[in-house]
Amino acid sequence: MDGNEELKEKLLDHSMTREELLLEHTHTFIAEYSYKTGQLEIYPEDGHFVDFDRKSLDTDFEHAFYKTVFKRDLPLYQQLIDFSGVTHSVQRDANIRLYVVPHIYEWFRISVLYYIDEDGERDRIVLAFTNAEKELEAVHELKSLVTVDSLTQLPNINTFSMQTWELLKNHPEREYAIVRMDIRKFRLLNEFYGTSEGDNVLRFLGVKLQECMDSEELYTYCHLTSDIFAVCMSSDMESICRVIDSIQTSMNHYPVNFEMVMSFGIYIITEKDKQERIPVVTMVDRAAIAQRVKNNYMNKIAVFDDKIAEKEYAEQNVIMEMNNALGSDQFHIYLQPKVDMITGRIVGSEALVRWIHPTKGVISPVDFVPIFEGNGFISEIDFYMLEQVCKMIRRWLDKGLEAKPVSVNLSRSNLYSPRILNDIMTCVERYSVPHDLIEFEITESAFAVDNIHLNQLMEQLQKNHFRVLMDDFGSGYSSLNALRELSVDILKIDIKFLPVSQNDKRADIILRSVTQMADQLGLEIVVEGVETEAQADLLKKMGCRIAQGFLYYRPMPIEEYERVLKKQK
Amino acid sequence: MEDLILIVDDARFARRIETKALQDAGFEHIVEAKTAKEALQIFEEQAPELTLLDITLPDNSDLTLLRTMIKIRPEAKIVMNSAIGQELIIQDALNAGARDFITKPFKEKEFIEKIVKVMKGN
Repeated sequence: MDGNEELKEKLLDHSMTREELLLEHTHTFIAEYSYKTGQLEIYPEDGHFVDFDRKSLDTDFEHAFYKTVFKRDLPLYQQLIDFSGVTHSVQRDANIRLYVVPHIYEWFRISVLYYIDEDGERDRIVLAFTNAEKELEAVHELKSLVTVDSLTQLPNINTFSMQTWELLKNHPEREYAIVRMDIRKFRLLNEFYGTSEGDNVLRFLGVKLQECMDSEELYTYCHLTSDIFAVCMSSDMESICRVIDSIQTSMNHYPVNFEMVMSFGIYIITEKDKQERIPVVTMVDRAAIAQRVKNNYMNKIAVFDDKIAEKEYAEQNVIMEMNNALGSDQFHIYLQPKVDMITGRIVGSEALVRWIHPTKGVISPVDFVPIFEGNGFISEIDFYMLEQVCKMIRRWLDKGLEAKPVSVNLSRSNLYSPRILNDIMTCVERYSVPHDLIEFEITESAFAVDNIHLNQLMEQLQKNHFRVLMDDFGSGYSSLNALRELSVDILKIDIKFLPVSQNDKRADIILRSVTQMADQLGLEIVVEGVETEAQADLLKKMGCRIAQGFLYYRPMPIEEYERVLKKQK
Repeated sequence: MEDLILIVDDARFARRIETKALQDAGFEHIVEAKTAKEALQIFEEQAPELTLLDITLPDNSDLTLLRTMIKIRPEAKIVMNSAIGQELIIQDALNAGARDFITKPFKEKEFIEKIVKVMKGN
C-alpha cells in the first residue's frame, strides 16, 4: 500500500479524532514541551513525517530535533526555539528542512508558539511542523532562477553584477579585470552536433570555469548567455593567463570532433570606473569590443585599451550618423577616370563614394566603408550611388555632354538579395540610362561564396547589356575557378601584380600569363593603382591598355571630371 | 567500511562541493582522492561502501579505473561523476559496472537522492 492509500485508509478510520485527522491530512506533527514538568509530547506519537529518534528528544529538548534538522538550517532552528527576548506569548514561523528519512530532507513550515506564565517565566513551547516540500521546493527553485543560470548553475548577470561590486567595495586596494570569454564558432557546433550537445559543452565549460577559479584568490564569475561567460578577478596578467590556459586546456579535452577554441577579451577596471560606478555589463561589453576589434585566428586574447576605445567610439559615431548622412546627401560621387594608356584618353570611370561631413569635412572611405560592410549599410550606399550615377549620366545626355561608361561597385551583401536585378533595372530605367554606360564591379572575394547564384545574376546583367567587372582579380584563392564558371567581361587587376623591380621575374611571368589568358578568353583588362611611368611602360609592353591610377588621375568630383573630359574633347 | 564514501576528483572545487553536500546530508565518513592511484589504494585498503568517481583524472581519462575497481570488488557501488554529459559516455559507464551517473553541475538534492538510492542498493 503506498503512502497516499495509507493516508486515505487512516482518514476513513472513524476512530481517529478530529485533531488526529487534521494532523494526518496536513502532514503535520506537533511537539509540545513543558518547561515546568520537563515533559515532551508529540502528536502523532511516532512523528512519522520526519526522521527522529524519540528517545533522544526526551533527554534534552533544547537539542531536540538537532539531528532531524538539515545541518545548514540549524542556526535558523536554534534562533527559532530561543526564548531570549521573548517577554510575552508570541508565535514565530520559519521554513526549515528536516530529514524525512536518513539523509533525505524536505521542506517544512515550522510554527513556534512560546508561552510565558504570569511571572514572565518560560511555561511551554509548541512546535508545529507541516510538510510543505512541494510548494517550498518550487519557491526555492524560482528564487534560484532569479539568481542563477538554469543550464550551468552559475550566477547570472544580475548576481554577477552584485557580487562584483561587493568584491570591488570590500577590496578597494586591489586591481581587477573583467575577462569575457566565448567559444569561437559555437553556432557551428550547435549546427553540427545539435543544441543538446551544445548545452553539454556549456555545462562542461561552466564546471571547468568554477574548478579553475577555485585556485585564485578573490573573484566572481557568471554565465551571461549562450556561450558567453565572464569573470572578475585580479588584473595581474600572470593570473589571467593562468586562468585562460587552464580553461583552454580543459576545453581541448572535451570529447567532440570540433576545434574548441576560446576567445578572450579583457577589460581592466579603472578607479574612475569604480568612482562612477559604471555598470558591470558595460565593463563586459568593453571586453567584448576588445575581442571584436583585436581577435583573429592567431590572436585569441585581446585587452581593451584607449586605442580600441577611440576606434569603437569613432565607429559608433559613424553608425549614429550614417542614416542622417544618407538622407542629407552627405555622400558624394567621386569619379576616377580609366585611361587608354596608348592614346592617353579617358575611356570611362569608376564611381567612388566620398563622405563630406558638414562639420568634420571629408571622411575617408577607409573610416566608414568597412563599418558599413560590417553592419550591412553598404547595400544602401550601393543603391544610392547607382541612383546618383544614373542621374548624372542622364544629365550628361540631356546636356549633350560626353558620356563615358561609369562602373559602380556592388557589395557582397547586395549580391544575394533576391530583388537585386529588379532594383537595378528599376533604377536604371527610371533615368532611361543606356545600359552600355553602366558597368558593375564585383569584388573577387564575392565569387568564392555562392557561384551558382552569382552566375545567374551576372548572366542576367549581361543579358540586359550591362558589363560586369571582376574587381581585385587574383587577390583571393578562387579567381581561376570563378573565371571558368562565371560570366565576366572585364578583369580588374591590382597593382600588386606588377613587378616591384626589373628582377621580379615571377611577377613578370604571372602578369604576362594573365594578360594572355584574358586576351584568349575575350576579356578586357583594367589595371588599377598605376602610379609611375615605369609601371605604365611595363604594362603597355605586356599588352595591357586600360589603367586607373594616380599616374593619370586621382578620384575627383563630378564637376572636375566633366571639365577634364571637356578639355580632352 | 560501512557508510564510508570515497570521492575521487582531481578538482579541489568538486571534492569540496561534494563533501559538503554529503556532510550536510548527514554522511559522516568521507574520504577524498585526487588521482586514480590514490583512489585505488583507498579502495583496496578501506573498501568504501560507495565510490563517487570522476571520469577524467590526471592518470586516468577513461573507464579503466572503474573497470579495475569492479574487477577487485564486483559488488562495489560506484557512481560516475563527470562534467561531460554525453549519452554515449553515460551508457558506457553503466555498461562497465557503474551503478549510476551524475552529470555536473548537479542539484544538491538530486545528488543526495542518487547517492542514497545507490547505497540502499536499489
